[in-house]
Amino acid sequence: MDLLTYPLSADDIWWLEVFIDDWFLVIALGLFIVEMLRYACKKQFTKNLIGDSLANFVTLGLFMLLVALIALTYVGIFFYVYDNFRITDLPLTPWTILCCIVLADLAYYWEHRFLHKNGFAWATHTVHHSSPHFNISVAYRHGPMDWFFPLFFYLPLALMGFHPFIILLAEVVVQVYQTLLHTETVKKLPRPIEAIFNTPSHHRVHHATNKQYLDKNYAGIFIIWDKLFGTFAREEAQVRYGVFPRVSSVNPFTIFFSGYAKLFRQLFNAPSWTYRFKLLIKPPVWAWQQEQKNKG
Amino acid sequence: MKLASSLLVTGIIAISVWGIALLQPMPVQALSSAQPDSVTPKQFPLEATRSNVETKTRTEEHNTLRVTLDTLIISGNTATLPTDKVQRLWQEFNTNTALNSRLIKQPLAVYVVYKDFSANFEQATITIGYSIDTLSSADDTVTLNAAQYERLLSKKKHTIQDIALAWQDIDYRRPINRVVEIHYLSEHSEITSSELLVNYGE
Repeated sequence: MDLLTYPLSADDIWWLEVFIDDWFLVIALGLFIVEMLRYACKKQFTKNLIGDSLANFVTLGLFMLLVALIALTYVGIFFYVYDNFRITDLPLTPWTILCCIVLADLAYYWEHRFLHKNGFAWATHTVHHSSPHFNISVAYRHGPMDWFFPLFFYLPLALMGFHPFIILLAEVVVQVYQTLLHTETVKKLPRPIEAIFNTPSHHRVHHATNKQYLDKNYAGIFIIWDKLFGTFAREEAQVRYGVFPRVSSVNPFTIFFSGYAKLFRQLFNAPSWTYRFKLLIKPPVWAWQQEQKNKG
Repeated sequence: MKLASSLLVTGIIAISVWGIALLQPMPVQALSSAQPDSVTPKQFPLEATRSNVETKTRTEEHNTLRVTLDTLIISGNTATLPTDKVQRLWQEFNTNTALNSRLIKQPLAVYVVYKDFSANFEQATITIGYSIDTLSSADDTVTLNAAQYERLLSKKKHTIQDIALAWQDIDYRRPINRVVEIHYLSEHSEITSSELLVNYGE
């Protein structure tokens, strides 16, 4: 109990966040190499796989470039809300951090679900789903607006009285946890873990294009959110990865902008302003259905 | 589960987890942030402890209880800031690991001292800290010389509102040397009672 209520300083929390962020990337790169060796042993190591993986890391670089440009504003918004509008004062303790991680994970579930249900949001998130492969590097395959949407889902935590550094730490924890899920190396984990936590198996389902798996398993850390809200699917049939239409390129710039390039083409060719509006707010499947109707 | 139900359940879960975060046992918690709207100068809770509480003497005079505090030296967090931002200082105090690591025994109280008020009483130099006799060492200390205080709140359990309202009893027409809030602590560092004192100049 003493450990849970041990008072921390904002500097401690910032240090912890940077520590996790930096070292986890090193660990992830190590695991990625192990994965590639495994593919090589299974004679599944292809030029396309290595090209796609390298492109993933380049999209990470492009994303980090954008994040560097907006980071101060992003953090500033959290501090502005926290300083001026917070309802309560929560102490900086491990207890608060744990509660914040649970709430951040719940917020992530809804953000993730929104990314799949809104045309404008899907245009950035589709980049992450567009790889036909599934390995650690896919976790780093980012779209250009991936920094934008979390703001709206995590900001309520600042209103609730969580210090912005704790919120950022919780965001990082939710993200790095998921990084490890992008692998085919781990099949299934023990049942109690599969029941409570998001696992590689659950996340493979999320990346699938199989009809029965579409729009399932949005969870970050806890799969219980999906089970609770009716969006859970268990991995049974062999998973096919990617999106439709396929992004048949390993050019990182083509990949990075693929979602918005497609959205802008759709907007340009749209028959009316109402249609354009719907392209932005309706789920991506709506646009696909309209195209099928027109073809018919 | 339908979307509306899912959102409702999300709200319930969020409030529950938030409640768990709020209900955590805290070593020392700031009592004040609430201020009565009608008070001209902004009001805040003061906290302080007094190592030599036993030495105080009390005399009734013009219906005001007077208390004498011996010299008191405290160490903690000090800042000159708008009094309505005192919560920030509490946050710093609550996370001052260097201070807590110097505690050699359980402090009996936390002191909050307001002094050097601005002309409109909106700003003051505020110190939140422990008596140095509970610390192994102390760098930045604040000394409160022995003085007579008028007691605005007697030593007992008070709500935030009680403390905020007590600030209204300060006579702002008189020169104010300092206002001291004392929060007495239990063995588990929980606040058991509070006291509010004001020291006027001549």
